[in-house]
Amino acid sequence: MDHRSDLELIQEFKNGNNNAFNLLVLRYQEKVYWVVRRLLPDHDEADDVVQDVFVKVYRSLNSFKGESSFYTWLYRIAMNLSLNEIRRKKTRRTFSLDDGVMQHESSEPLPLERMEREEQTRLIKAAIERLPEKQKKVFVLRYYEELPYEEISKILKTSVGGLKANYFHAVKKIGEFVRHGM
Amino acid sequence: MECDTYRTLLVEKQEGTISSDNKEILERHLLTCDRCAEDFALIGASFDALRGARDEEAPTHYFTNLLPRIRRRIENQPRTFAGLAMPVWAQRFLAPGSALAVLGCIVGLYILLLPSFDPSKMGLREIVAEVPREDIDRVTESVLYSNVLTRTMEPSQRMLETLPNPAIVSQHIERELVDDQLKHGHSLSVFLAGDSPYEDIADEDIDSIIMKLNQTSL
Repeated sequence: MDHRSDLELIQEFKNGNNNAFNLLVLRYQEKVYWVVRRLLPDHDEADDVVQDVFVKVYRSLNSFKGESSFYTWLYRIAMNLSLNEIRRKKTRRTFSLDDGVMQHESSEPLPLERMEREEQTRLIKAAIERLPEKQKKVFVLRYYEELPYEEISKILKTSVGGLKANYFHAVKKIGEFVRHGM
Repeated sequence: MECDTYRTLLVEKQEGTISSDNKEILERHLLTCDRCAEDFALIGASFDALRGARDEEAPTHYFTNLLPRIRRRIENQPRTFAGLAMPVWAQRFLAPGSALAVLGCIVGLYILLLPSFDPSKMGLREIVAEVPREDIDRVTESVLYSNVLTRTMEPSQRMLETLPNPAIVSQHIERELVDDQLKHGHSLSVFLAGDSPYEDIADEDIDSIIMKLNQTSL
């Protein structure tokens, strides 16, 4: 476990220590993966974006001025690249409810409880995927990352009041989607 | 309070983060407002569904292998320049190439913006640097130069006649010769004798140079 702060590692990287970048990746790879994965349910797509996020960080780290915390900056990059990928996907194909849902390939029937859980998961994924971009970002950062509104406000550069309204609408829409089972 | 102001409280109550005061206010409101009660139920259904959904999992060893794959991508992924991919070999030359390009631009701008040769805006040192050495020699050997040295400061057409190509340059040299002599006395001869700054040359050296030049012109 390395006790150096993010800023210390960034400074070392700027001084030519490439290993400092590796430590930043190891420190944040899981957080970045899960933020991206919530926005892009398909693992392979998420994996591709996660790598791009860190490539972008590597190329931009020298210009990082520390005006925000490193992870705020990192989350912003992750959010933006994920949404770029979503937009790119939208132009490539029409939406399908089966996108990103793991298929059960075994010939064995699933137990009832597990089937219900799979169905629930499918609905949640579909509901989140259909949220407007802004609500989707707020929802992922608040619900899954459990970040306080003040932190989300820094990442998304939006007022706390606006975030709360977005979160309310996001949660409500997911509820409507799940209730109607579509 | 308007219904819109209860939105946050509805979410906070379902999250379990609502304060006891707000909880009481909200519960009183929910008894009288069907719309908010409906929203509250929807939000509850949403959180139930979210909690009931299967936890996603990353493939085994995914995080163990991620860093090497990122490093490989950094090595292999071409940088994009104006949206175009650049091959790896080109990336190696990107930084020095950019520096050279910037330098080239600066030099180019300097050449473009520099007046072709405007002696009126140049000092004597610059003018002399622009003029072929043989022309300088001719000027220094001319009668006019001799006159300048002896402080007659008389403009003369004869100097121009001594040049093979009596261009405007020589006129300015003449003017500068005179001006310089007016301002600095003997500094001109020192300057023409070499590259040393005026201040670095001892007075006796200056006198000897003047004498030598006078002898030459005679």
